Amino acid sequence: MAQVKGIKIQTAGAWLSLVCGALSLVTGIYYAVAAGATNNFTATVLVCFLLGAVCALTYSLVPSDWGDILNLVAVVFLAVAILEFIVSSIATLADVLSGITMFGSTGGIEYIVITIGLGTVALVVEIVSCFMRRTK
Amino acid sequence: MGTISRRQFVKGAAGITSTVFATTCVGAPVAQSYRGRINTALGIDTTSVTSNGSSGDTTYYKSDYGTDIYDATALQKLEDDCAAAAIEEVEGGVVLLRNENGALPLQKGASVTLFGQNSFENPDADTTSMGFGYTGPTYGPFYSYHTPGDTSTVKWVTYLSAMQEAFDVNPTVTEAYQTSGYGRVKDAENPDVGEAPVSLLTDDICASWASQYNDAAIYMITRQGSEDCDLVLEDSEGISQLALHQNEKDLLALLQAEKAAGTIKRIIVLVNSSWAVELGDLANYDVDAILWVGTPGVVGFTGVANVLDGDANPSGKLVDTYAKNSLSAPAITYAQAKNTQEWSNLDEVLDTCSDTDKFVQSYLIYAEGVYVGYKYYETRYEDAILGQGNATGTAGSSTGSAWNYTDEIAYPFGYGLSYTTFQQTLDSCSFDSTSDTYTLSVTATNTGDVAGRSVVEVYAQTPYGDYEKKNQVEKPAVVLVGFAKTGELDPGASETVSVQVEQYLLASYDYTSAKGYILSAGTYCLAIGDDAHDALNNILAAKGATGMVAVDGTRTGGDASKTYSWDLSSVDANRYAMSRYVDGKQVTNCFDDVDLNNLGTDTITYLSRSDWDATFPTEPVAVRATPDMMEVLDGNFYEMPDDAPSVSDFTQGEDSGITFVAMRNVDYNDEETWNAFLDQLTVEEMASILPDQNGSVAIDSITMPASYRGDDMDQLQQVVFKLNGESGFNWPCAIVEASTWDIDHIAKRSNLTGNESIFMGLTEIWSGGPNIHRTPFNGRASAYYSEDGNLDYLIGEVVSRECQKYGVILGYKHMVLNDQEANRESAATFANEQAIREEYLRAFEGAYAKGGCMGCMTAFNRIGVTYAGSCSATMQDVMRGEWGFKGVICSDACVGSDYKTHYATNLANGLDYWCWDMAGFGPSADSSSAKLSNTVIAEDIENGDGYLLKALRDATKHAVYAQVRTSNINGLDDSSQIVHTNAWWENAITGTQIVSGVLTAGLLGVYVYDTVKASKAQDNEDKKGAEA
Repeated sequence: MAQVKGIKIQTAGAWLSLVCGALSLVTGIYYAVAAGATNNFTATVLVCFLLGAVCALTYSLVPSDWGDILNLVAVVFLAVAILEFIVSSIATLADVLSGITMFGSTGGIEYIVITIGLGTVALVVEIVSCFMRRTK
Repeated sequence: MGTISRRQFVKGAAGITSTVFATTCVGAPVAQSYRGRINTALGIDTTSVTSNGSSGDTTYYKSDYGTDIYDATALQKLEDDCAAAAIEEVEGGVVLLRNENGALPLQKGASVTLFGQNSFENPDADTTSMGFGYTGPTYGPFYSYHTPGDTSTVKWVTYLSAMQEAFDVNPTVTEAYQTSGYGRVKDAENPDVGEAPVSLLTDDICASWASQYNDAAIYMITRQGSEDCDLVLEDSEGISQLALHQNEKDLLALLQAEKAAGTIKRIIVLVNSSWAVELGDLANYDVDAILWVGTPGVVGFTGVANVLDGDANPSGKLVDTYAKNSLSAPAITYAQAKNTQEWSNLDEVLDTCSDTDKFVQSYLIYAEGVYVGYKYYETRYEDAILGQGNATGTAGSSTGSAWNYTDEIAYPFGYGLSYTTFQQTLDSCSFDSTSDTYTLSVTATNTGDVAGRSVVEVYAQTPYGDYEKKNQVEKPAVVLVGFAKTGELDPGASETVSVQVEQYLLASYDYTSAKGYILSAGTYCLAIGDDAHDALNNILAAKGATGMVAVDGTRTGGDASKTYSWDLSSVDANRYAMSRYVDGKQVTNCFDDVDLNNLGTDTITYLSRSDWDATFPTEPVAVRATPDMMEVLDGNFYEMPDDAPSVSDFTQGEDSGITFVAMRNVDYNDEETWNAFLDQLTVEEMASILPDQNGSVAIDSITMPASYRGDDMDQLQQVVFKLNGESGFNWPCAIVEASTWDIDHIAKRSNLTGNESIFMGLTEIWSGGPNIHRTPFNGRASAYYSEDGNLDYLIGEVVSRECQKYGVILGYKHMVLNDQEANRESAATFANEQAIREEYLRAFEGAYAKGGCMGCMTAFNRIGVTYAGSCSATMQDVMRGEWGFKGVICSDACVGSDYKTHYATNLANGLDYWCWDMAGFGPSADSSSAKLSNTVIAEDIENGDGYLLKALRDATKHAVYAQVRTSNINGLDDSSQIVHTNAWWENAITGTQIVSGVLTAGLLGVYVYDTVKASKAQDNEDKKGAEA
């Protein structure tokens, strides 16, 4: 396996978690910018994405005996982030699905689809990593 | 890689189960918040009523089709009757606008070619998905505001199938259109009328009508709008969406050439539009006949075909003015998305107001005052004829030169031809002071060759003198005040009809001096006429005027014998100073704060016939919102009054043994009984019925069942037939209904809808109807009757009475000044009180004050700067105060939007429940919308607000008064009890939550155990290694 700044990433599981962490970080930042622009920002969503990213990155980059559970913790944070984001976007989703502007949509559907898409990929990747070993 | 260890498998599985657990934890509260909507969508009832049946027959409201609402045969009979009535409605509601040389009717089985891309469904497209709320490519005629389709009881009749049933239809051209790929685009911003380029009709295709299929070229022009989708003032071709577009003109030119060459015998245009298309140019293309068909619903094209082949004789009359230039009305200056304005100090408004920006930023001004539709065009015409008021100035002229009626109008309000001709005579007119009505006796004689029905239209002209000019009391030259329709008259036959005209409709609202209704001094005229313009010409003839023109621009002298006139010597401000409906209630200004000129900011000049040229609105006024206006814009302006009662002044939760059903015959004014009834309820119980989600919850302690509510009179939806889970019958749109000018038919349709509601267990119908076609572009026009407040007034009374007698609340919407879809959410709407009362409120008045209508839905917009759901002027002062309204008033769908959910302000100002009250989430969780209305109101009362407790008691009374007069009480007696069940999806969520939670905990336990075990094993190995 390759090395990142001197840290040896030994398994596919650790690599997947690294990917998840990076994706979560990107998703969180993208969310903060896009949701802020449409007045649909909630701190809970950002915090959960960032905590998910920290857990996933720590899991892959900082070896520790009890750190093995961190990708599972990341899964929980990411799941909550995505769900809270969907819930906070209900008005816009309802407007788009019904075809009429009535439910109080706060912005376009594009950033919602992108955020959910990125977040879901990160979540699935991290769940897969949970099935894998962190070290050889 | 290698195999997965047990520890890793357990962790991975925990990842999945924890995700599911999180989903249920986050999703369950949302699902609960939307519980009613979910259950309605899934057709689930979670409450039922049990009874020991000891009280005998408790079916208080009976259908005409039996008492078993699960009887398939009875339901089929009902829907068959609806279909038959719908076809009759189309036959009597379509309007023949032009019929040169007897082009219509066609011979039965004539060989015809159907033209127009919008005539045909696209076989490759799922048209059932293109209905309500859909945006994008759309194919086929516009059938209905709702999506038509086959049901188990009604088969959808497409235009093509109806025409193929009646005629020999050219298959080549039909296939060319069906496979062309062209179609219109329904979109609020970038619509496309969708006509295919004429190049589609290649030489080979043109050859298909050379020797046959040429008895007639039938071209259908289609326009479509909907909720939240106005038609646009300027589309991608840079012209009004209602203008004829180039592809349409090219096709007409082709047909004209084919007719000139002798190939096609006649050109017939069908107008499939609820919006007044610019039809003035059609004569330039040698069109022989024009038939307006509106939006005819799921079976209506059968009626159209019946009219085309002469099985039925059209007898409809226009309920809108068809101007040659759809942009020529004065209302256009402040209308639709393009001309809706934003505050000149928008930044300050946004900084000041806490609600979402888009909900506080826009405004409209009804600068045209009372001059809407025909009231503008005909009034300006009279002044042009009489040479007064600078009527022939260029302001508002479509040609840029002197204003001229013939240049402006294609077909006036009330216009419509027949396959026969009629002569109407005004036999007599008398006044009965007791009933305060004039009665006109009119004889209609069929002077043509085929049987037909004649519509008698009665218009009034009231004086416009010095008093009116001084006090800004505007006077339309003609106002519709009554109508009747004869039965079918054979050639030569006559029928004398009586038309009642309320003198009230001759009064004008003087908002500056008398601050009430006045009867002006001077000469009054009542006139019959074939349409509004014809009636005005008759009045002008009676006044001795000359130079009049008929609709087609030819000179006419009018007919003075069709006018009855009398004089009133002085202004009478007393006759209607007090309410006609509520004893002791004065009628006076309620809407001063809706008139921009009273708000201490920028002012406007209302259109006045005293000087058309100087007052015609041409450029919108930029308006600055004042601090006072912003305070109201911000929405949360309720403060408990100093003299409010305390909570302890009321008794709650004291059982008197009065059940819900026991209140069914209790008079509204029986305060003692109502108070005893309300005293039984706790605050929480009363508050529980404030939030609506297609119905309200049951109250067990008084055995009040859950209620069920849904849209609308054009098709009952959301709440569905108990038997088959399907929606109600898809009727022709409200405009076709109104265009019948047939009160008997309107009553019949209302009866049928009332019957349908029983088969659904529906307790309230939220329905359009009385809003005004202020401009021809209102996207929702097909759901509203007409451009005329008085016509809506006369129709609304009948619909309310005839529908509600089957035990359903008719909840007319949208109260009020909600006359466009663009910026419908929260646009501040300014108007003077004369226009509000004589046009916009008048449209609702017949239903509430005379028809006993028990429901009302307010609007999304603002009345002035006050959100309609917080407007005490309409809800308290006018509806309950002046009109004696006793029913229940709800908001339009509030769905967690902050500006619609200032619950305390809404309730304190007269709102009774909140439609689609679902909590806001995300950022709005910080606003009032984070909690449903019941929670917010109960908390406020818990905190000591006795004023809100009184308002809550009132709201409960209104809801109970209305609901106990519905079929909701069927089956209730003293032994009845409410039984609750959970919906399957609620059980599923709970089960999933428990299982995933337990699994997650278990898996985590195993994981920790394995980890500890592995760690110990590793320690031991390390230890052994160290020892070694």
